[in-house]
Amino acid sequence: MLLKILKHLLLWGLIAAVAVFIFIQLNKSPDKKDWQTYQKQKNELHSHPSTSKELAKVKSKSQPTKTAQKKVAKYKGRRIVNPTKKTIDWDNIEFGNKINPNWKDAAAKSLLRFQDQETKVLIHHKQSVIKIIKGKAYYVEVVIISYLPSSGKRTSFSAYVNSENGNTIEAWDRTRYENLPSRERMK
Amino acid sequence: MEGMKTRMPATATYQKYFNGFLKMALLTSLASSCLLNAPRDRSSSSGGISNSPSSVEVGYGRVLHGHPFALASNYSLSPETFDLSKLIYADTDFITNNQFLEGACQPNGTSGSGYISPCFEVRKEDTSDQLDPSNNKWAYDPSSDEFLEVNTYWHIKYQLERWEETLVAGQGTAAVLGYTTSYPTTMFTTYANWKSGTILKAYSDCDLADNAYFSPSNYILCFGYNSDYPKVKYAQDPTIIYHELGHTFTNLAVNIRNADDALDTRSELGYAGYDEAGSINEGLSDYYVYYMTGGKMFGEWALDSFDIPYVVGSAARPMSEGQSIHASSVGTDQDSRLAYPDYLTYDPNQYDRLDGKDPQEIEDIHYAGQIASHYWVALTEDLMGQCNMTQQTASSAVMSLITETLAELGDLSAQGTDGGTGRINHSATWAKEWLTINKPITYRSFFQTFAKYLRLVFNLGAQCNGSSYSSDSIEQLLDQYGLLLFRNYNEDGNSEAGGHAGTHTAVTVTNRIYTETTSKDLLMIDPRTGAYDAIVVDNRTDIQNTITSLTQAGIIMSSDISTIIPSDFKFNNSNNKINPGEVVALSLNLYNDSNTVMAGVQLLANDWDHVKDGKPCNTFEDQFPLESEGAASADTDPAVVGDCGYITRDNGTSGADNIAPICLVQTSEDDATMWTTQDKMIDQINGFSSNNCLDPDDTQSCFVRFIKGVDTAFYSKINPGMTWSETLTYDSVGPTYQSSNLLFMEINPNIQPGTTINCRFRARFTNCNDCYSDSAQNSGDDFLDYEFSGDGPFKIINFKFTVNN
Repeated sequence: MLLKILKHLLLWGLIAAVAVFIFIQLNKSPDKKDWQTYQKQKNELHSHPSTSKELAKVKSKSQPTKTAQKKVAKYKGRRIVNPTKKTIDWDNIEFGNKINPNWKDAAAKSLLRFQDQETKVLIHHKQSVIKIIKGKAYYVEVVIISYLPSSGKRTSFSAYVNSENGNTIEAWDRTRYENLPSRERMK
Repeated sequence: MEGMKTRMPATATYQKYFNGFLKMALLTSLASSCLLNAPRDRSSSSGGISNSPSSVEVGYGRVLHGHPFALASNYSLSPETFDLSKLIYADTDFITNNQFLEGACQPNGTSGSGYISPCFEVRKEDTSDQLDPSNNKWAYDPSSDEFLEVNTYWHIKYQLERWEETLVAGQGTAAVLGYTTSYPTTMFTTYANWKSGTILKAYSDCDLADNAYFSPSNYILCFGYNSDYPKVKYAQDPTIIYHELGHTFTNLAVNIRNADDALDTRSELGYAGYDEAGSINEGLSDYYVYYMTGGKMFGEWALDSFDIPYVVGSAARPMSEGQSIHASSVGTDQDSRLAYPDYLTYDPNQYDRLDGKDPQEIEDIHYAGQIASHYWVALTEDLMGQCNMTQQTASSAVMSLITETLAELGDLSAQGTDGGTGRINHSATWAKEWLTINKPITYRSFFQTFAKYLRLVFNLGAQCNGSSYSSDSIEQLLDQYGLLLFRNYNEDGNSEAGGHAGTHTAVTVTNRIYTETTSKDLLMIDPRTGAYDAIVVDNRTDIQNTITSLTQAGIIMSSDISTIIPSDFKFNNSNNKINPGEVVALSLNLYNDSNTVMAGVQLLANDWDHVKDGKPCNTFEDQFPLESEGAASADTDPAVVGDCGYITRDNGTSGADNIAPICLVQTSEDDATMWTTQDKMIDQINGFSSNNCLDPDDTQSCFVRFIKGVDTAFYSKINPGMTWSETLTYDSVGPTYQSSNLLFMEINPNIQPGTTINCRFRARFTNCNDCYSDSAQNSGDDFLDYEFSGDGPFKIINFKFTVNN
């Protein structure tokens, strides 16, 4: 009898373990770890890994199989972004910044500086690169920044962020709302 | 299914791999059955179609082949009781054999280059699961969410296929004709036909009132609803889908070369608020509707107010002068076209006209873009008439020329074409700055480049039914739209390396009849007695709200605002003066002293080459300041690096010749008043160090500076003898300022009240006859890009103010 109960328990335990494993796998997004949500509450910065509900609003869907296939130069494991395409003397080039492991927090603090309370900003880390700016090398993060204001329109844009102080260096691909002329005016 | 007709997929009649528009003419005539609103087996008007799974084959469904007003042939259709089942056809439409509403990019077929699967998907909204019909049939009740998803999917797929065919044909035509094209040779093998690594997500029923959007960073299309009549969905109107997806394709087109070059950064056609690039973007999205359907109205269903008469409150837009919605002054005669710049602020719905009043002029990119859409439709019809082309063939050819134009203008590598020495956007280092501020895309630059490609393909390339479409035809139609704004076709580009040695074929002067230009000298701060120089907005709430929304939009970066400016803008005191510690919005009161409308007026507050050794050069037209007031030595040799007469070739990157912030400070030296750069004042203030500057690393901007991203302002037009504000005043009420009309300036909290500042702005406008070339030099060839670091292409506008106590 005891053996039978033990067998049952083992079986149910196994089923539960499999179910938990499947649940985790189903909810695991390959790049979810790259997302972080920051929120301004009572002028304090709070953060948590982005939830599925938050991600649904802003997350792009990747198509991993097809990317541009031009040769990519790397240094210290980071892709090099060198607009001028001039040869770089890596032994002598000056670096303009260092890598700060908390760059994302610094970026969020800056991004939320002028935002209302409760506004959230989601930072999606895409890649780490080295960008050559006016002859100096900088550690830079490629990110997608999404604002989820407590009221108002959600917006996203891509950006280069300084890996040390979190400052945004350049932005592109901004959300384009139609913003049609006011219907009130028309009537 | 008995007696029910079914159709093959829209692409089934298309062949791939054609390489010329003449060939395309034959092929597209075969495909004409997929034109929207073509005669089809219609449902009965009384009962409607039962769009049930049993009524279709696997992979098929039904969609709306037009917007509800058109399908019902009834523009009084009720927005509350309309029945879409009466508007769908009995014929079925192939949707997909995929499990979900996912589609592939396949410009060269499933085994050819550029194939990406999937590259787009459709679902109801962001939180919805993908539609997964168990029977693989896509027929749903037309009032259901699922129907709207299928409808959205079909139209996206249809438009994507059409656009891909245009790309293939365009690249093929360029290769056959052998001219220098902006289409990258490796465009498809590098997958530059799509945004790398991303699937476009389209939401057919977004929770978004009276709006739609395209978000290029996370690749989302969102179609909202009419807030007055929530049953009216934007995705029920195919013209809305084509317009919005058009923005996606425009984003791809302007970045084709950047994607081919595997760049992270991308170009944009237009920024926040009003600018001409944004207007062209909107006009192009409207043209996508004509390209897809042959129809000449956009948004008649989704953007209608459903008031009677129907035009009142509508935001629909026409694309041809022949549409009845237009004012009576607009027509297809050459002298009544919807021409630049008169119609930049024209709202065709003409609400005011119904009251017998002059219509209100509105500064808005959608309305300004109508000039572009009307021109492209007129050109398409001219090609159809002169070259015996079908609407589909001609519109594809025009779309390809537009795509080539965008690919060149948006190139951030500054090459513009494969190989060569470069031709566009100054340099890879400064391309973004040139595209956004120093030399953004305008009606002039766009249509000059467009005309170049039009001439290469249809004139020199003889793609007009085997003959040549004349240069006169090109120039005369552009002129009818006021767009013959350039002296030559500028084939040799604008790079310093290329110089003026290449080809720059002149426009025939006698073809310029309607296009009006005038001199930059006639743009100035309002000189009339009692006029004000500028409007200063320092209202705390207004500034705070604007900065909040501009940072959300990615137009300005929080980190570009000094950390010594308090985040609550507590120094902003709403006294309409410039006080220490404030962020103020500034609008100079620009006045047009000519007899011609000035359009596309732009004011620049970014750094430029006007200072030598900390002293302002007075060798420019403004002759500021006097030598006794601290001007640099008057050395004007344009060949000596560092001289005031020399213009930096690399915008100051190498340090050989620098650019400097526009605002200079007044100091006293031995009882003399001197003008100097801001860093020179630091030493004159007891106890002040560079750490007290707005940016300690940039002492030349220590006390006042303009915020990046909002350091340029645009104005649609200024009528003769007026200011911009007077131009747009209606019923004695002035215009509402958009952020794009304002320049935002930070004032150091540590600046001494009473400090006098002079900011040396540069200004120009699109229909300026001396801002882009000098008719007396280089046979009228355009200025080279580096010259836009200096004063030559601009009018210098000095604005002096004293910091308030």
